[in-house]
Amino acid sequence: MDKKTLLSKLNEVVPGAVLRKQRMGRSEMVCLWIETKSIQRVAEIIKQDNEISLDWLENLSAMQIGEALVFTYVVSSWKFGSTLILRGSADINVSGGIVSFPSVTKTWPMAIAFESEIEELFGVSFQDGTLHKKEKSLLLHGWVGFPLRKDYVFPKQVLGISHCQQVTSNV
Amino acid sequence: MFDSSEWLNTDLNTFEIGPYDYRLQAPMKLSLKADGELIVSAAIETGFLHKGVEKALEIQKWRASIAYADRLDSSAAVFAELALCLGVEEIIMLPVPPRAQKIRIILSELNRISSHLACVAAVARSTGALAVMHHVLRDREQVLDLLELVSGARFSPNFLRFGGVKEDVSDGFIEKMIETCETILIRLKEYDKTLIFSDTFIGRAKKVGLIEKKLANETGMTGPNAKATGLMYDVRSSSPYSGYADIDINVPLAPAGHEHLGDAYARILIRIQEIATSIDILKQAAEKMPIGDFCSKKPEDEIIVPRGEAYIRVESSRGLLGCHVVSDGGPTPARIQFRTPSMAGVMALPKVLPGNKLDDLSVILSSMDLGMSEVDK
Amino acid sequence: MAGRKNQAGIGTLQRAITWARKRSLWYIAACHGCCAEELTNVLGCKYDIERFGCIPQIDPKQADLLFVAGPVSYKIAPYLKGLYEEMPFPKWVISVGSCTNCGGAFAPEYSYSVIAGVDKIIPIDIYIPGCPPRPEAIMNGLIKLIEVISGLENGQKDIAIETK
Repeated sequence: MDKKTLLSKLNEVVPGAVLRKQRMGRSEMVCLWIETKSIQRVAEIIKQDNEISLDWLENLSAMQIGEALVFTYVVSSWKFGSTLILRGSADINVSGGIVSFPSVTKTWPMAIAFESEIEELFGVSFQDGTLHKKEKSLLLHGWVGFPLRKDYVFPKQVLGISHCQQVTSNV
Repeated sequence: MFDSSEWLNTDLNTFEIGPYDYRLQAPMKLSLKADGELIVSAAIETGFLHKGVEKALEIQKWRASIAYADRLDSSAAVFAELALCLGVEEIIMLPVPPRAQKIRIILSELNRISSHLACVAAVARSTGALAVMHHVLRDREQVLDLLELVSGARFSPNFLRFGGVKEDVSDGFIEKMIETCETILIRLKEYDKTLIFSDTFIGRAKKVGLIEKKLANETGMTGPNAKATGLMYDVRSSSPYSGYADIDINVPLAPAGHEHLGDAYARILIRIQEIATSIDILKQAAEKMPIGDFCSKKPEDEIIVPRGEAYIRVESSRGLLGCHVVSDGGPTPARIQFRTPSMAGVMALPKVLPGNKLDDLSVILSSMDLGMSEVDK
Repeated sequence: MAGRKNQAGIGTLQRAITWARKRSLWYIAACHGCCAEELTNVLGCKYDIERFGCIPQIDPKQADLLFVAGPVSYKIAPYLKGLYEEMPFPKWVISVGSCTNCGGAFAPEYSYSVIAGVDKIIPIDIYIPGCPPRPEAIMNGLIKLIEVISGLENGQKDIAIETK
């Protein structure tokens, strides 16, 4: 199914969800910005529809741009071989606390691995997902801070062993 | 007289297999509940090999990012380098000369052969065929010698650059490579006699660690593990990159209804057939090697990457490796994220292990070829 | 001879025990990352380590030597210390690669979760540099350890034999 029919279908079932359409870098893949509160609904539609059938979440990555966290979903279809990219964003609180975002694990169960990694490294809490996310725990129990945020400062001492200062990236 | 089912009931035992254990190929924690010898449920904890590669990539400059991509997983080093270079070249819009593309194919396939041979050696060691393990490691040394002839290092070549490769291959390299390929083809037939068609190995690997095609679909498994269940997905043939477009690739796939569909034996067979496919690709690449430049950027040129992003897929020896590169125009990358293929295998383990015996644990784990250092990054 | 401190005794029984210990170092390997692949190749038949008497063990209580290879994270550090303390005396430790010597590519300026050198938690006898070191370099380190066990410093002859 081509992109125009996909867009019109989404606009008729979930009006106002698609905020913007752009190209992913210089490639042929299409990227859609979705409103945060309709992400779970859009995910359901594109998986269940027989002509779209995007049922494989290939990658879910997060990055910090300025004061916002941007999530990129790369979804593919086993049946047709097509690919679509979805994007959502959330603001980081000024105090540096945990960010909430809806979870897509009910639609795509393979998202559990990606989401638990992002929860730990960026300080995000994914809501309304399936449980059992503690399979992956990358950091030592009781780690303070979220390492992949831009304002993270390396700890001075861990487990009684001293750790040096990090290099600022302009060196 | 007495009803034996009353007193022959066993309670479930709990086994905690800790980070360092001879049955595990890499540090991880497994918590198994077993009824005697039969595994009933399993839970897995990973994260012991977390190095913080993604944060280090944001601190170091662009030139150093290739060396860090090597160290994501050392037996599949060239694939991560290739994904990163293709991503940056797409952002800069830098064309790669055809000779450099063929050299990249040669390095990738050599690395694939070396990685599959390591997996076969690990399976042979875990089933007790120690003589076969030594034979396979001896053949792996020949492939590592070839990698050393090209780049100077056996494991982390650091040979690809943005725009091509670091330098041209030396004069006698192509002939030596063809010679090594012929030797390995003969040795593959020796493995048939000693390992693949021996009744002991078939008895040890048959119906062990069954993975259904539905489970492979749900967890997003790719690579030889998925091909052994009948799920066909290979990036080299579906969306060719870096010069694969004019090379014929016959991808091995387990046919539906095969008696070994989805078990450890099929996974080993598929890996050995992939070695034969790689040798075929190497011969075609050597024939079609054009003359020309090896890099479209001089080493002393500054690397300036403008704002942009790219998502690249590469077929690594374990499955689909994805790389999301984001640049904001500065001297260091803004974000580089790798989607590693072994994550699907780790997610599928709690569903694969139940129903197997405790003694088969090492055969299952070594035949699935999980690279823990790329899962933990 | 009187002021030199060495593990080898002078008497014949002591020298026999030292000879037996240094020629049959059964090892256990704590493998974490890239350098683990080179350790497997050292065990293989081209760079055979078994001719020095080293056999891989699966039980730490039956091992004399601990090879530590690959970057050690803070999460696994308590388990590595426990593995070292389980080994009975006499025991030796060889650290293979730059990441265990000093942090290497994952030095504390660039990585938040790797220990800058394993010698902050366990005492190490031999450091082998490289990223990863070649199998010949690992064998060189093993031979240096055998010389250290027999009480010889770099290149000195065995004084006990010469003066007798």
